[in-house]
Amino acid sequence: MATDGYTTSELMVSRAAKELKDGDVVFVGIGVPSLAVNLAYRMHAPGLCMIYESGAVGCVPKRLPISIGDPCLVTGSLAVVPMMDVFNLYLQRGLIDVGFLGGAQVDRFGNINSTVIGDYRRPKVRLPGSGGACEIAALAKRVVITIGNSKRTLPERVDFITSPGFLGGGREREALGLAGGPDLVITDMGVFRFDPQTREMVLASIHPGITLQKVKENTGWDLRVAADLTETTPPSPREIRIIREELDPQGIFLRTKAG
Amino acid sequence: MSGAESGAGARAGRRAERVVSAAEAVASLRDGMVVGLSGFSYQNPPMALVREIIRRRVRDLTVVSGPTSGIETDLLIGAGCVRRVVTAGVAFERVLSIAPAFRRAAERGEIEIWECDECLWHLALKAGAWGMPYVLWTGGVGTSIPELNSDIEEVEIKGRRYLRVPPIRPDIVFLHAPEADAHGNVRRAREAYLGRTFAERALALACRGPVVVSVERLVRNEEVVASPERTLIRGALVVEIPWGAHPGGTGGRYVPDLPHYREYAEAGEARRRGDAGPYQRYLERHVYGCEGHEDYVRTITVQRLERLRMQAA
Repeated sequence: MATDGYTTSELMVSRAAKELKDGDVVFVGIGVPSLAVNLAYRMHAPGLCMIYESGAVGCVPKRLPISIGDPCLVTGSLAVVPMMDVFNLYLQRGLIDVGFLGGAQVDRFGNINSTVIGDYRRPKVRLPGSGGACEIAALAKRVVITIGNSKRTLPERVDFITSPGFLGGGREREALGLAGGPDLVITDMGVFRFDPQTREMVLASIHPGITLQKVKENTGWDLRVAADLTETTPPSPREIRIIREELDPQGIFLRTKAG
Repeated sequence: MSGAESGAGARAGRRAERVVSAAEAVASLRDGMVVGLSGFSYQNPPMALVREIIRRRVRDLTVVSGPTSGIETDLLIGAGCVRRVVTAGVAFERVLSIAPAFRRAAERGEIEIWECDECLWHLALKAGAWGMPYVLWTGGVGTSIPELNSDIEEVEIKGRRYLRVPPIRPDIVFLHAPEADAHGNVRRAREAYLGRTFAERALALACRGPVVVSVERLVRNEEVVASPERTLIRGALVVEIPWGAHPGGTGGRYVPDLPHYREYAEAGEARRRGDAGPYQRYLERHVYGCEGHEDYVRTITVQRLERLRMQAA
C-alpha cells in the first residue's frame, strides 16, 4: 500500500532503523532486518557493528545479502568466526545490543511462534522452525520485532513458544533468569511497546492513514493504547532514496514500489 | 633419498587411499540409520550423494542437517526416505519460506521433528563429539521445546535454569566440500572469504561411523601439506563430484542456482496442494532417470552450470 510516495514496508524499515544507535552491536537477519540495519548504517549510525548468524562479524555488505550464507557478508568484514561463537560467545556473554526478529505469530506478551500454527501433532501450518531466533530472543539485550498486523498474526497467546518474550507477563521472564526481552513491535499499522509492569504490548504510535479502530480490529486481544499515542514518523525522502537506489534497487525484498 | 623426498610425499605414499565411487560412498547406508548432511540454507549441500541415496530407496532415515537446512533434507523427505528430522528449520529463504516436502510431511504427520534451534542443534553434536551425556545451555528456557522433546529437560542449578541437551551421534555423515586429497584430508577453498564452511566439522566430529565427502576436485597430498591450516576434516572417504552441490552452491566455487530452487519449490507446492505430477516428474528427470551424476549434469547442462561459477567478490 503506497501513501504519499512511500510504501508501508519502507515505513517499517525506516521506523526500525531509528531504533538503532551509533555503536550498537546488532544481530542481523536477512530481509527487512537487514534493510533496516543497513539504512541506519548509512543514515545516522556509521559505527554499527553488524553480526550475521553465519559468523560474519563487522559486516559492511555492498549489496543486500540474498542468503544467510551469502559470501558478500564476508567481504570487507572484520572477522569470520564459527557459527557457534555467535551463540555461545557473543549472545551468551551479553555482547549483542539489539536483535531483530520476525515470525508467523507474536502474542500479547511478545512471545514468538515460528514452529506450527494449530495443534502440534496435526498442525494447520507447519512453519519453517526456529533457525537461530530463540537464542536472540533469550539473550540479546533488546529485541525489535517486525510482523504483519492481523488477528491471525497477533493472537492473545501463540500456539507454540519458539522464542521467549515475557511468557505469561509480569515477572515470569525474569524469574527464569532471562534478561532483555522484546522492546518494540513494528507492524504494518503501528508501533507497540511493552508495559514495564504487566509486560503487555501497548500501542505507542499509529502509522499515517490508519485508524485506531482498524488496529484494534486486527489485533487478537483487547488492545491497550498508550496515553500519549502518536503518529509514526514517515520515512524521509533521503531514506526512501537510499532504500530504493542503494539497498534494494531490484526490489527483491520490498517488491511493491510506490507509484 | 633426499630429505625433501622423505618428507610429505613419502609419508603420503604409505597412507591408504580413501577414494571411493558415488555408489561405494552410499553402500553402507541402511534403513533406519541416523544420517548427518551438510547444507546451511543454500550452501554446501551434498546433493549428488543425496540423489544417490534416493536411488538406493532407503527408508526411515533420521536426518541431522542444517542447522537450518534446505533442499538436501527436503528432497530426501519428498522421496520418502525419512522418518525423523533433527534440524532448526527447512526453508529456501526468499524462494519459499517453508520447504514444501517438509511442510507436507509434517502437516500429514508423516515425519517426526526434533524441535530445536541452531544452538541446541550444535550443542547436541558437541555432546556427541565430546562423549558427554548432555550439555547445559541457557537459551531455549521458557520455550515450548522441552515440552515436545522428551529428551530435553529443563533443570535448575544454583537458582538458574538450563536446558539439558542430549548427545546426537550420526551413524554416517555425508558432506560436500571444495577439495580433498586421496587420503581423505578435506579442505576449504583457498579464498577464505569465499570459502565459508558451516556445520561440516561439527557433524564429522560427532559421527560414530564413516564420514563421506564429495569434493569439487581431488588435489595432490603435497598441496594439502603446503597449507595445513585449510584442512577441515581428516580421514574421510572422498568421492570427486564436480558440481556435486547443485542446485546448492559450494563455498568459493559456485553460487546457488535459485531458478532451479524455484522450479523445485513450485513442483513441491503443487504436490502439497494435491497435484503430485510435477514433483514426480522432477524426481524422474533429475533423480530416478539418472544413472549417476553425469546424467544429472546433462539434465542441467554444463553451459548453465558454468554461469554459476563464483567470481571473486
